[in-house]
Amino acid sequence: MSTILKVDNVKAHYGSIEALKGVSLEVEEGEIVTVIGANGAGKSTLMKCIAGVMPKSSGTISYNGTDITKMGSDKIVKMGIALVPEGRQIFSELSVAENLKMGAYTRSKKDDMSADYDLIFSIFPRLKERLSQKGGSLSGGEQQMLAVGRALMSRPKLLLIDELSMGLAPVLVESLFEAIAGINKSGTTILLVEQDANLALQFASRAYVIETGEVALSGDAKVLANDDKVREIYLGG
Amino acid sequence: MRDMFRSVKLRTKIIIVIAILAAILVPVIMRDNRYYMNIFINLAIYVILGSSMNLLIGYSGQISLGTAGFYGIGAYTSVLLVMNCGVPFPIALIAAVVLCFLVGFVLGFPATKLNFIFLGLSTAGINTIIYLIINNSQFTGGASGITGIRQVQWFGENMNKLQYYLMTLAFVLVVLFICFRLVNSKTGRALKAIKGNQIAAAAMGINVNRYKLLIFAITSAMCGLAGVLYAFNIRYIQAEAFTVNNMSFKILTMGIIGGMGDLGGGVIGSLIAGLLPELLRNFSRYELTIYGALIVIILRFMPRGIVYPIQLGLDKLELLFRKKQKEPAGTGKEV
Amino acid sequence: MSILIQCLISGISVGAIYAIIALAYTILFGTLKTANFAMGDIYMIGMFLGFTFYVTAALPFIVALILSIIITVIVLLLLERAIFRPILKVSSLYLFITTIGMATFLRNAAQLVFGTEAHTFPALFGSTPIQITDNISIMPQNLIIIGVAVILVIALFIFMKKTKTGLAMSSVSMNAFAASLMGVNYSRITVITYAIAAALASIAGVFTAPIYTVTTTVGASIGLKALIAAVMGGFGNSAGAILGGVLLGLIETLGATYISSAYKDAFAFIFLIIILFVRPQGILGRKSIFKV
Repeated sequence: MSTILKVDNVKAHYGSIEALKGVSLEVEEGEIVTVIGANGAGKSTLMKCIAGVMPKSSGTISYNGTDITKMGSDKIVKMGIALVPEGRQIFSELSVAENLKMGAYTRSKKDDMSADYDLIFSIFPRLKERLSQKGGSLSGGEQQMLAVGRALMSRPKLLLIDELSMGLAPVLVESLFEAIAGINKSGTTILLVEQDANLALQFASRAYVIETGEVALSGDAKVLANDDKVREIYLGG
Repeated sequence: MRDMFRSVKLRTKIIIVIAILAAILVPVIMRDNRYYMNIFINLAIYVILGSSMNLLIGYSGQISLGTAGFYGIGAYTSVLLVMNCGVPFPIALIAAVVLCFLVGFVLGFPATKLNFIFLGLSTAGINTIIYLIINNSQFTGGASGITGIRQVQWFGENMNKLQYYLMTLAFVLVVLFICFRLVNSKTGRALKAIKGNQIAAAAMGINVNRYKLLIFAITSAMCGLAGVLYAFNIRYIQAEAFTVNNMSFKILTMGIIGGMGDLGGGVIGSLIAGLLPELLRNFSRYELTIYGALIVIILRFMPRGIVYPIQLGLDKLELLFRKKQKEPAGTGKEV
Repeated sequence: MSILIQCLISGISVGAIYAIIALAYTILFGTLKTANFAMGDIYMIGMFLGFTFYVTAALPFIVALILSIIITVIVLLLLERAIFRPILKVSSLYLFITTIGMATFLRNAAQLVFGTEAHTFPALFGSTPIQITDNISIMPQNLIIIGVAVILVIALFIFMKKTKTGLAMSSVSMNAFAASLMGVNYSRITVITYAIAAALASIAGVFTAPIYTVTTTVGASIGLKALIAAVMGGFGNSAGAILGGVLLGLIETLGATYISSAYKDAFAFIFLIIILFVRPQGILGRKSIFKV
């Protein structure tokens, strides 16, 4: 198993505010790694940095050995990283089909996408039902499915997910997580930022805990789930 | 109040005193040269106009392409009151300014809630409508305007150019003082601190809309005042002087050149913009081209205005001065 | 009655011109969220280029048209890269003011270069009006313009809906952040959007040259009114731009005929102010557009 992603001492700023104060993490190919932490700790900022939509003040990010720190998002998506952003961020006036088409933006026109559509519809059959509906008319859960499906259209090797559970009913969230686990089993590495630490630690193999822009703890997910401090702060005792 | 004065740097205070002295002495010395006196009067009027834009754009983050409209309302209102209704000049002036303030307030009420694109278009629209009314109405003299405006009197005698200039200068100082108070008020300073960020302001409980509306109304009043002073100096007015493309645009340029958010910058910008037509006496065809180019160049290369590099230069000089004072001569240390 | 129909025909003819330029404004705003005040004077540049190539250089019309489009596009793209883009990074209000300055500069600089005389551009199919009935007629050139407008609108629609780039532009206008997550290169989209806007403006310029004599001030009034049309229809919405353009043409013509021709220019503004009061997002605009 090789290291697919290496984040090395990355710092990032919003104006004069330091959002990431030197974050380092590693993801091995095939893993599900989760990043947990309180609101505003810097988790989303980290994801944006990896996805290439946020400039880094210092540090490096490498993907399969290639330095992607200064790369634009268009190149990063082509290389095989896709981000499912916080808040879904689907294209509300475009149909489900068009949203998915946008997901495949970086792929060549000659590519046969039917296999990808089949895969996505098998994981999220509801999307097939709503194919011609406008993205904005979908429910929260369906939008989340669409956001994941859209990201899958670029055939990512590394899937970044930011806050899968936000604002969704627990039953729905469980099924989403199981879908993610399934995607992981078919070979996609997952890096998952999550508010719901309980659920995240159940599904992930390893975890990082971020507090105010720094990595406070890291290690095996099961071990961290039993850690006293983690239990107190993030797992509700 | 005292705090406000203390917060002004000593260097700035010195510059202000020198500027006021020059503004009084130079025209006094040249009082017999009618040509130059007119230039001085016009510059003073431009300072009022430019400062109004400075206030509007730099401090409240708004825009107006309708300033010439208020310039016109001020001019025509005061002239008509004096010529047709026999109202004494001082009262006509006050009436015109108050009218512009009220109109600005009423129009500003819905307008200031709009974003700057819509605001720019609406103010351009208001100006156009005002222009068309002035141009097509009988009581304003239509396209030919009003000529032979009576001179302003001072103790029974017609004012000479120097007296008129000093009167205008007095208004300039009053206006600049009002701007200073506004900008350094609690609301003004807070707005500057958050750089006009709407959401942050609302979170801090600052009534942004009220402040913006007030500034919009005051800006309108300032333009109206300038219009009165303009009308009674040149003593004939016609619609062509109050267009969007020509006059409102020039007023916009005056505000931009000096740098927005800086009162001194506003003054300097107005002076530069005002001197340009004089320097271009023989090249008046180039006037608007140059104004347009100036806006583009300044915003592209000196978005904080001409004043900013000057300030930096003065800062460096000051540092040099202070260092020389602290160290004994001959240490040879560089700044 | 025939006066009314003549009015409607004139109104739609003028409206078609407003609509094309309004489209230019609206795709710039819809996709890139920038309001560019200078498109009217870009239109004027297109017209002058058309005149230079077709009349002065006596090139075939198609060649003149294509050259005008290409050069206008290059000019606007250069301005965008050198001036607009860096200023946009500082402030969008400053960019708006810059485009106001740029509009004035282009207009007056052109006047210095080309002089103030009006040049004539020959009508493409002659200047005899086509008589529909005894009292109603339409100039062939106006018919052409309406035709061109329709073609442009259809072409733009197909482009936006059916091509990958068009879809990318739509996605950028809805959510630029999400679009960049899809791998859309924002810089490339910027260039394409500006190119389309310049092309629209220059096409309008060349085709309307026979109607409005070729002068450097021709863009001032039309540019402003087209912008108003775009805003009235719902800024950022292409259908809104077309609706706004045609509506404005009708309102102006009807107002000038039945109310007052001296106040013709005011009707556009009066209607704008009414719309901004009643429905600030424009007729077809989405509520989400920013307030301040």
